[in-house]
Amino acid sequence: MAVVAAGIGLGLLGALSWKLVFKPLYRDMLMTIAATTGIGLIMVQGIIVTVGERDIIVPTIFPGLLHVGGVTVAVEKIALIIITLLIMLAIYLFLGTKTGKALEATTIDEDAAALQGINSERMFLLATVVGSALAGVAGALIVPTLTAQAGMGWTLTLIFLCIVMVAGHGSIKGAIIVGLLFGLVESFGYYYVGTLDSIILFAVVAVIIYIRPWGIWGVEFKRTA
Amino acid sequence: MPIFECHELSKDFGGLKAVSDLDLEINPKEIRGIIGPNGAGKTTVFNLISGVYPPSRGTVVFKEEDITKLPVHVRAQRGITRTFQVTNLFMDSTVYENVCVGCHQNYKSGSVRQFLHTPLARAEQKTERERALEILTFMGLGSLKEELARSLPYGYQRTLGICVALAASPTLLLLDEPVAGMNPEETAVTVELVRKIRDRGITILIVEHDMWAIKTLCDKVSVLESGRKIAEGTPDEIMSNRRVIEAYLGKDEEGGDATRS
Amino acid sequence: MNLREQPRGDYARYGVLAGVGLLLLSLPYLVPTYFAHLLILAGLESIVVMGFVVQLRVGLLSFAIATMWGIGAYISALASTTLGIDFWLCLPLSAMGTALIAFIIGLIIIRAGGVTFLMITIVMAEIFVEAVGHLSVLGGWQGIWGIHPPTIGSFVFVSKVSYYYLTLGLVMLCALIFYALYRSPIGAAWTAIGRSSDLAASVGINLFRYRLAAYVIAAFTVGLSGSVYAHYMCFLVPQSFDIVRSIYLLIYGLVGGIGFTIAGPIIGSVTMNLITEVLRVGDKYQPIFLGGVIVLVALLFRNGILGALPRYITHGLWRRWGRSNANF
Repeated sequence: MAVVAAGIGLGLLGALSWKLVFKPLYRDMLMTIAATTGIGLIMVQGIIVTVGERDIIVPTIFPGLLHVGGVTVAVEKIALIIITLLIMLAIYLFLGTKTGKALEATTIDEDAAALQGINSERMFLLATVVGSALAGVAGALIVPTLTAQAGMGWTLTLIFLCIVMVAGHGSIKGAIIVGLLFGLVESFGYYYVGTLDSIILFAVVAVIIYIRPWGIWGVEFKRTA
Repeated sequence: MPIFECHELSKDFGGLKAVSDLDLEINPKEIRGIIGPNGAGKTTVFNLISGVYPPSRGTVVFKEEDITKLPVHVRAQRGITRTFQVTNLFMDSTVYENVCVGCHQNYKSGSVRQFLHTPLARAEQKTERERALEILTFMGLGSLKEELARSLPYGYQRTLGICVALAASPTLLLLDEPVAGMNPEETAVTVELVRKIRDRGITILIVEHDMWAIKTLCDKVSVLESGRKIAEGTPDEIMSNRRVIEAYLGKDEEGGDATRS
Repeated sequence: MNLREQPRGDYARYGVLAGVGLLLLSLPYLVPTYFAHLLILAGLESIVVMGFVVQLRVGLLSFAIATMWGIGAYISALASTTLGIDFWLCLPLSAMGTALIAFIIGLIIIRAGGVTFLMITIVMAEIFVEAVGHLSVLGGWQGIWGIHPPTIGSFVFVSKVSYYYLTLGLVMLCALIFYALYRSPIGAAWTAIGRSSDLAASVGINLFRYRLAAYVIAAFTVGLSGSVYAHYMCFLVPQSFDIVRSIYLLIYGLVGGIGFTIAGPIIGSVTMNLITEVLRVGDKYQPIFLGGVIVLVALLFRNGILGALPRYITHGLWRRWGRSNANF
């Protein structure tokens, strides 16, 4: 269905961008930032050009409501939670496999991993493809809940970045927990602190990063001079 | 009156005792060698003396001032500079520009004067540039001054490293394996240069594996093994010291030619 | 670090400079009004990019350069609209205010190291936009409107021509400031810190002090630009100064040539503003082309426009400041 197509489609896009753009560039951070911005522009506008700028409303795959206790919940939300948990389980299992461990090794120390016979380029390609595919799937899944807007990527990217920075960039577990926390804060924050909720959230993020730049579950790295 | 002393200087990395209870006393204009098998902690000692690592225990005293808590750049300003084991230069700058950076701390004019390019600041810039040229010529790199550091052959790069450290007008110069990877001719030339540096009044601390260089240059040698000083004396003394020989060659072998590196 | 070039090369360069100077002075009368607007914008942006580059030079990659610009702009706008301060006083006020804020923030975050610094600038950029947006005293999401244009006596800055000369003057002032800095031992220390901070420290250079100086000086000039920007546009919204803007400015710097500290930002800003405009005829396809241009530059023209020019034109610029990406 659409979800699978989105996953595969984005995975392929990821592979393409890797081969063409990231491979020669990934060691140079500045250039990579510029290049990804460029790709982002192309992709977003590509959507606008092909499909049109209007927001798209998509019907849900999981219609219906559930009544549990005194609370009414949409089936969809439960389905999403279950799917998300399944995906997380899949990722977790994947990391336990040989390939998964090779991927982790490359993140920790590229040269040492290479000495063990791990092809780091293939690892980076793998990471890019899997990451893109996951993003595609996530996007496809969330679309019934939020309407599809062409520009949604830019704002969300920042939040994802914050989540990763706080959690620690190697840690899946951390990403899940912090992601959930962020979601909670965004939902309930307004209730408790009013309009300042996002400011306080970002301020807290800043403090956490300052004290612990490698994130809560991240691997400690040496502070550069 | 020693120009440099350290007492019970120690550095632990987690459970690893890289350097333990090191005591050194170095006199002015002395050339002191530090030798020891790989992993003995020699470069760690340099990092402790120059301020890259704060010590876990112990004190460092330079010119009768306790510098233990001072950061790298302040120790440099007090007169301790160093070269690096892995060649460390401004690769994309010319030889001349590299040495000019070394001269940086000799400026007495403040930043505002430098920004405004006052006559005083300009005069100082001129003086320092001449000094940089003088050092280059002294060390034999004068003709290469417009070459990019990156394009120099290895041996010249190491010499350039010494030039940069010299430019900062040190009183104590730490040389980390200055002749590593050099053939005998290059080694001899560098050894001679180090002697000339000492003749200018600079005290030198040198870490080396090349025993010929150590024997030729050093007034006194301290030997480290596993982070501890196991012997100290003239080159001849320590090269016939049984403990030293054992440290290098292992206890199972008999004697051994300690002039091999 | 003076290199005596051949006299022939000297005359050629002075000739080119004089020609360029003449062109610049007469430009507003030669081009259509809309291009004048682009040039003004490019000029103001180029100052911000100069600020970005000087920070990068000493190892401080920052995604909050547009934020700094926004701080300068908002200080000037608020001073002008709520306190009625004359523009010519707002200008230095903005610069010093931004520099002061930068000083305080810099004291805290520069010590933390390059990676942490970058991450904190990302968050700071967001905090700024959110804070301004949510606080109506700062204009909120609607922004501040009706900012008065500058006046000299009875002359009011209305025409693009007048703003052009104002911007040109400001750009030249900032170029002069940076030029004086880079040619002094301060600039040499900055380049040294960027290329090898260990080595720089080992010869007595105080890394923190020089980094903080670069940060604050950048803030000062960016604040100047922000003030003029506010009074030129006559309205401000917080979204103009978000992290995406910072990244665009970063890209302008890359396009010009990231190793070129003054010419790079100027060329980059002008080029990108012109390209964006030229591509506008393709309407829907414009961002695609823009994205394509950016990717091409990153892939093929790492050293930007100036880096791709034949050496003998950029000889003096290249050698003195080189193609350095600050080491991380």
